Amino acid sequence: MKRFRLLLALLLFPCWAALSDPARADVFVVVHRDSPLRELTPSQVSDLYLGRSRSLPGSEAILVIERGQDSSLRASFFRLLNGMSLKQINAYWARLQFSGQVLPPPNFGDSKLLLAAIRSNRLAIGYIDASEADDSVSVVLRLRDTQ
Amino acid sequence: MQDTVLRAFFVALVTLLGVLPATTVQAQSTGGLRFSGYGTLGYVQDNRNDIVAIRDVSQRPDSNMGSGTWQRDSRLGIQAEYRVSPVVDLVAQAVFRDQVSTHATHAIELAYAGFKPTPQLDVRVGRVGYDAFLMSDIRNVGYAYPWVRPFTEYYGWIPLFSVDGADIAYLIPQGDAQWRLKAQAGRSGLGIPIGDSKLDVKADDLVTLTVSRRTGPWEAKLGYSSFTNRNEVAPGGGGGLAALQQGLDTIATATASLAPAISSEATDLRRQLSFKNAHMNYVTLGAVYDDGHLLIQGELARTTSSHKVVPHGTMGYVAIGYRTGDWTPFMAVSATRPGNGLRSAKADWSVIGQSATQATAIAVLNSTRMDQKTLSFGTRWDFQERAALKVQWDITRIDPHGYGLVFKDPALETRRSSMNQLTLTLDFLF
Repeated sequence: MKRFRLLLALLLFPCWAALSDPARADVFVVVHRDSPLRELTPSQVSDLYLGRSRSLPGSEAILVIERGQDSSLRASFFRLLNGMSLKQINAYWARLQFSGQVLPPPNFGDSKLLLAAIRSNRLAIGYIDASEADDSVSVVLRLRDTQ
Repeated sequence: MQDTVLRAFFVALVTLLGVLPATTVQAQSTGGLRFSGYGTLGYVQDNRNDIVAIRDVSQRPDSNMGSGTWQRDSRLGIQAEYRVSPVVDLVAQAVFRDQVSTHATHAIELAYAGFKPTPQLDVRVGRVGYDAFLMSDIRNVGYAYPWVRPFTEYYGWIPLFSVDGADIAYLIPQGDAQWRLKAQAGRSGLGIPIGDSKLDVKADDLVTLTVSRRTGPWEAKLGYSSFTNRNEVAPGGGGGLAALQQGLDTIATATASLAPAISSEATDLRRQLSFKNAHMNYVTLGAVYDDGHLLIQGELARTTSSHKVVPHGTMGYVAIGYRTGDWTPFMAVSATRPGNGLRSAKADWSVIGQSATQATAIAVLNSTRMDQKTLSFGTRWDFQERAALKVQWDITRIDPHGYGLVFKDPALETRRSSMNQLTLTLDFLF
C-alpha cells in the first residue's frame, strides 16, 4: 500500500517543465549556389530531415546539416515544415539512431558556420533564420510563419 | 573460435572509438565522434504474491514475489558513433539491463561498420540490431515509444536482440511512397533462465527478410525470420531438465523391443524437450498510422518451432493513442495463443514404474505454453525536450497451462489467473 502511495506522489510531482513557446520566425532552407537543387517541397525537405531519403531525383547523396538540438530555430523549422514538435522529433530520431538504422545529421548551432559549410559543399543543405540569409547561398524553400 | 573473433572485433571497434579525437566544432561538420545514450528508470508493482511477470525471456526475476521491482524495466544504453566519411560509419552501443546472462558481450547491442555506397543502399557488418518486427531493434529505447515496454505477449518471448553478421537494406522511392527491402544474416546469442541455471541460446543460420512501405502517416512491415538453436542445457542443469532428458533416452532404449508404445512416446518427449537443433520460423505483419496526433499501431505474428518446448504460437496487439500537447494517453490489447496443444499421456508407463517420469516430462512441455492476454491503459507525459514520464496499468489474464511468460507458483498451472500491474517509468535521452 505504501508503494502505491509513493507512485501516486510521484505522479503528482510538481511540473517544472518549461512551457516555452517556439519563437516565431520565417525559416529558409538553403543550399550551395551551384547545387543541382533549385526548388524543394516541404515534403521533400521533411523526408531529408527525417532520415527517410538521402537524395532527391536528379541529385547525388545530399549532406543534411542540422541546427542546435534544442534550439528555438529547430523548433520553428519542424513546426513550419511538418507540424512536429521537438519532443516528437527527439522521439522519432531516438528510434532511428539507437536502432542504428540512420545516424543523426551533423549539426551547427552557429549560422555563420552553417553558411560557411553550405558554401564549401555543393551537396549540402541547411536552414537558417530568414533574417540571416544572404546571396552567398540559394534558398530552395521558404517556410513562412503565419501564426 | 567465432566468439574469439567477435570479441576481438568488439575490442578493436571500441578501442578505435576510444582513441578517436573528441567532438569539436570542426568535427561536427562531418559528424565526428559522438557519444549519446538513453535510459529508463522504471518501477513496477503487481497484486500477486504467487506470479512474477517478466519483460522478456532473458530475465530471471528476483525471488521476492509480491513486491515491486526496479529491475524489470530499468536500463541504460550508451552509444558511440564515428562518421569516418560521408559513406562510412562506426557505431557501438552497450546496454546495461537486467538479464540472466553474465557474458560481457551480451551487453553489447551494436558494434558495426556501416557503408552507404549509394543513396539507396545501406550495408552494415558486425553486430547489428535484430530487425524482424516493427519494434524489435528498439525494445530497449523506452523514449522512442509511448507505452512503458514493448507488449510482453508480442515481444517478451523473442530470444534475439542483436545479430552477429551483416545486413543490407535497399530503398525504392515510388511517388510519395517508399519501399524498403532488407535482408539480415548471421548468428545470435542470449542467456535464458531454465530452472536454477540457464540456457545459452546459440542461434545459427539466422536469416531475416523484411519489406516495408511508408507513405504519408502510414507504415507497414512484413517480415520473415528463421534460425536454429545449437545449444542444450548443460548436464546437471536446467532445474533437472538435463537429467529428465537423460532418463527419457534410457527409457526409450530400454523399452524399444518390449514396449514399443512407451519407447515411441519417450523418444518423442525427448525430442520435443530438446532445445538443441530446435528450428524456429517467424512470420510477422505490422502497421502504424501516425498523423502527429492519432497513433494506431498493431502487429500480428505466427511462429513455429520444430521442438515444442520452445515457446511459439500466434500473437498480436493493437494500440491506440492520441497526442495532445505534451500528453499521449493510450490503450492497448495484446494476446498470445500457444502453437502446441495441451500434451497428455499416450501410453501407460506404470507397467515400467515410470509414471512419474512421464508426468514430469509432459508437465515441463506444457509449462512453456504461452496463453495470456493483457489490457493496458496509460499515458506518456513529455515534460521536457528529452525526458518523459509514463504510467501504465496492465490487466493480464493467464489461462490454464499458459504460464510460459511468467514465473509462478507451480500450483497455479491448471488454474486461470489474473494480475494487475502498475508501472511508472522515467525515460530520457542524453
